[in-house]
Amino acid sequence: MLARVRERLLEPRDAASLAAFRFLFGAILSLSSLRFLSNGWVERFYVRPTFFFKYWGFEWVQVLPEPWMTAAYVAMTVLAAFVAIGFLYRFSIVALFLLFTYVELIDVTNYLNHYYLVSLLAFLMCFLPLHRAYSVDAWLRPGRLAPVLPAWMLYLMRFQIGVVYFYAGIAKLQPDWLLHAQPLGIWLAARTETPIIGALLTWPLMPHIMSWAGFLNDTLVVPFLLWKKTRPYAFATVALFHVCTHLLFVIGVFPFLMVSGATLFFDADWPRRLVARLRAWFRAPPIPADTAEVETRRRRNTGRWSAVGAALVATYCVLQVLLPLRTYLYPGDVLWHEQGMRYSWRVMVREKNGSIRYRVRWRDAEREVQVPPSRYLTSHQEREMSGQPDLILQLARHIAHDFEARGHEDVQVRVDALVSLNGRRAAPMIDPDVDLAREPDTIALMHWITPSPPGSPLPAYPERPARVAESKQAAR
Amino acid sequence: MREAELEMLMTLTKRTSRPGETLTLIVLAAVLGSCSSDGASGGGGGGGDTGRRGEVLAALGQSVVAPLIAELEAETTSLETALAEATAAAGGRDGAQAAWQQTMATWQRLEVMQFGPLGASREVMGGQDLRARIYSWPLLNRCQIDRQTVQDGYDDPDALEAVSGGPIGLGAIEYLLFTDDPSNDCPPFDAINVDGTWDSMADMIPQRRLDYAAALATLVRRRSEELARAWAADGGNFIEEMTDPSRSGAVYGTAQEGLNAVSDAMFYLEKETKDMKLATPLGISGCSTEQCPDRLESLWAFWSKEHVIANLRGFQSLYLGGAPGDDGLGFDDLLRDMGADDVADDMETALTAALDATEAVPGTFREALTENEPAMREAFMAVQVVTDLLKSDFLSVLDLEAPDRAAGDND
Repeated sequence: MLARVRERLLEPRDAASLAAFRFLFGAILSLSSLRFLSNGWVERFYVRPTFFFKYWGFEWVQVLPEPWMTAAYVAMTVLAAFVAIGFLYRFSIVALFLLFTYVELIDVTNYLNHYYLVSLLAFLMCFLPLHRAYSVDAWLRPGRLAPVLPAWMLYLMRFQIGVVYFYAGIAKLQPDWLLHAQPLGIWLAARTETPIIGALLTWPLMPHIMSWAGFLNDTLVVPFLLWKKTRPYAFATVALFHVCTHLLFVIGVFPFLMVSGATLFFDADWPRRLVARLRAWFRAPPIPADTAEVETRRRRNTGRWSAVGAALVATYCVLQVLLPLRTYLYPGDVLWHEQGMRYSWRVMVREKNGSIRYRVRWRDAEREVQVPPSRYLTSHQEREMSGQPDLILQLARHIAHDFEARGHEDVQVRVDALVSLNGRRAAPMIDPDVDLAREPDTIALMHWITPSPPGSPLPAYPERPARVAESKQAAR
Repeated sequence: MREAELEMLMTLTKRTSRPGETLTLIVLAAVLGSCSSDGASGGGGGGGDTGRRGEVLAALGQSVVAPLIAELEAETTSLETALAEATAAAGGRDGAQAAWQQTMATWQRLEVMQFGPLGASREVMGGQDLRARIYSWPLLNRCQIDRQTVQDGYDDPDALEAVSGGPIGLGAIEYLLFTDDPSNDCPPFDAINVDGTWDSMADMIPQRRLDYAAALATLVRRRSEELARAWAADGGNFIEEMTDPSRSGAVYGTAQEGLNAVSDAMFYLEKETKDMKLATPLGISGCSTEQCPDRLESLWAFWSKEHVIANLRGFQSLYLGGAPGDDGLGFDDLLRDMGADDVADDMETALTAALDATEAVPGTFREALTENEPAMREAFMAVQVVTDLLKSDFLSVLDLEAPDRAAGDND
């Protein structure tokens, strides 16, 4: 049994699809970094803030002063382009992974699921020789050309993309999404001006239809992509789904990344067949296949079985499966308490806004003072923090340290946090009597987070006939 | 997508025998086509039906902001006239002071409407920095006003405005028009104190202050006219950004973006009104002593309470689409359209309560700080209820972004 699995994993597969993915991944990241620079986001996200929220376990990561942050993004633009064309690939992908992960680790408020995915994919690509075909490296050093790669490499990348879809689907398996069509109901009502599809969004059932479509797409797309007969339809669905998300939401390169990821599920030689078809269309002569050479390289390049390597890959896969499940260790609604929310592929499933106020008292103080988060945070950081209790805790502890540094003793910090989730009426998210300055910043259960508010979210209608406004005008 | 690309894909589709592959090609075409758009992030040329949100945006522009700008234009003209009369008849400041108060009542309502030309060009779409030239609070360099007072040179308002960083606007006029302090605000080592210029001109200072204020009033009137022109259909035509936001080349691109710009401006009530005008003087935040009366907004006319009331009224008119009882389409209607009648009602009630609580503060804010602090605290708490609703339920239900948050991606 194990021998058959091993044989299957080492089976030679055309390197073309992985090479195509390498190109798409590099190109998307290069353009994304360029867009980051041209939008002035380096200044906005790394220069303007005076306080940065730390990731648990990565508190040591510090922002670099300018011009180094800009230099990091310039470097990423170039490195990602190198990855795309397969030039100095090994160096480029490792440097890209390290730089990208570094900039993402600087501030939690910059966390996006697709940035996490980019880090994971780049990490995997550090260990895969995706430059052995269709690359400048292979062109410069033909000896390294390898038209085939062991199948496990393709499977590993498919697994990573599959995990994202699977857990994104599981995240939608909850009443707000499936029964109340929220937050899509809120979002779609604000997007009825979208070209072409805007008019459709005014249809009353549309939030429910799109909620269910999103859920079914995420949960079923991987099996349908794996099955050859349904693959083209599944890919078409994926592409259509991501075209819609791109048109409706500002989610950066996520749709492009996922459509690119879906190409990994096609037969490994799909780029070669596409090129052949295009050449036929242009009436260009077909490229002669050197089967002997291919066979030779197949024998040489399908890789050797390494128990240690296999164990490491298996460990990575198990971690990827288990990490999103950790949220179930915490009681309550993850969308409310957010413990275990990150790295669990809960993509676009909540609309959360809050008003956060810190109340600070210290020994000998006659009364409490209020500290608005804006004293320490940018608007972007404040908005992101307002729905995430662990970040509210981080700032509370920072405020306490800041006041202590100014000579105050026994500083206590309490929080009034009124938060609205998916259109529910705003409710306190933090116990206002708990001194957060004394609370540890750990991954343990945070007892000071209040239970999620009862009741249903806002009913998901698109904009109803404006009865009130009409009656207002009629009354005049 | 270009025509040639489409044609190529069509041909490929025809040559493809399997329906699955055909579908794949069609969808690829859609993906490629979508790459050329910039999502729903505005940028102009959306071309979609702006619907209900478009109607509200247009109503706010036409029925709330534009009339208020016209009112400001008239008020600043009256202020200029009143100051010209005051300079001609020494000792007649009362009329000019009343005109300043009248102007500020209008201006403070516009303070919560800093979107479009009024806004800072680096911060808001379509911003032309006009606010900073009409009222620059909390920035006001009193020493520089005093220096300018002794230097004269008010005959040419243009030259006055050209002085880099020179004090201009309604804040400077307040200082010049209301202060009776014979001393100046410059440090002892400043030239006007070291060389005795200020002391030697002591008798002339009151008249000079009036002359200077009159010149500044001319500049404010001009800037108000510029603001009105920027909005006028036969001028800068910013009104069209409100009535037709999705046309090609528009500033906002969609009505939702336009409404977001308006709601961004409404956050003035959170940072400036609640935190700076109330919490800081009360010592609730941003004040290292028990109270900070010197951080009140109106330090010479003692008109801080009226400013807060006007801010609330401006906010209310955007929220309701006009004054209560005479309101048109506003944000409250959008909330009700979304089925959030309770949020709409609570916001309306909270606004009324905030206005009532502020109006109920006896005397001026400066007096209240020493004699009726609980009443002023009540006003602060009441305004806080409004801003809590604004930052939570209001933003959530209408899918609006907090200021400066729209940039960046989500997922």
